[in-house]
Amino acid sequence: MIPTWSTFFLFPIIKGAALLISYISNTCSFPEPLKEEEEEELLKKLDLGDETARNILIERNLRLVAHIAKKFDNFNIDVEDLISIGSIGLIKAIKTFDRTKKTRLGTYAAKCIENEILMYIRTLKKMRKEVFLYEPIDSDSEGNEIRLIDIIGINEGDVVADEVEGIIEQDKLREKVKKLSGRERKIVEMRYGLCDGIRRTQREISKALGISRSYVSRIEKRALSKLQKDMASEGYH
Amino acid sequence: MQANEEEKVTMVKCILCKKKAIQGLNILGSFICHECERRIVALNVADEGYDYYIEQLKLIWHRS
Repeated sequence: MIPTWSTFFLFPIIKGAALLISYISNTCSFPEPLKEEEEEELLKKLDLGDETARNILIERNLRLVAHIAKKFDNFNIDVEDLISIGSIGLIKAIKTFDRTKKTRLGTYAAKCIENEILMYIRTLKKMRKEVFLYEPIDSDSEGNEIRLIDIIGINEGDVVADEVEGIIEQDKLREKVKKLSGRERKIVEMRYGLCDGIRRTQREISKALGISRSYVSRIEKRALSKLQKDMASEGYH
Repeated sequence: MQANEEEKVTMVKCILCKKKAIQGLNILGSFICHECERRIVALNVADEGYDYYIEQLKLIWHRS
């Protein structure tokens, strides 16, 4: 059976949700939340500078992070990324929590976790306004990435010709690429075959560098935005 | 000399900066030094290194 478009879009969501459920239900992963009296006791110890109390408060609120991350699973963001972002919010919450304000830690932490995720989504939305033709938008049943250029039917040759007008612009762009940070430069060079003429997929790069595909994607987007701004500031469009 | 040896024993490698430190957070067996914890608290989603923190924090549940 030929997979439909809905299959392509639903598969990552279902996979992500299953992973998330396993974090919440698997007793080997995130520990049980604290009882109110346990929490109160640990907060008192935390006020006295007890490091262990802080560790326990963070660990026992990780399920809260996973539960809040679940609310955002329709934003097409990697579920593990969401839990990491939520964990940043949780660490901030534990560090800044003020017991004298009579708010429950769970209420305060939930706000901080949600806020961190929302801020991240806002930043992503800004970045997503910039559409890149070679950005993978999904993958087919064999795991090959599908790029925007593949479905809108533009001749790649025309696009390249439009994008890079003349050898002077190309040289300028190569100069700018050299100024990127180490990992950004490496990813842009591999994606666009700047060193050996071989364009690699994000999945291939993620395997080669030992990092996740979503991380490669974020670094690539950030690098392209930098290059775009840098080129525009010198009058190249 | 003895104190130095004791210090070495308790030093743990931070999952973020990869440096060894004595004090910091220990979340499900993953260690985050005080300096990195301070950086996390001051971290903004638009900061350059934010993606790195997202990746490295996954070690907390990958290791546990």
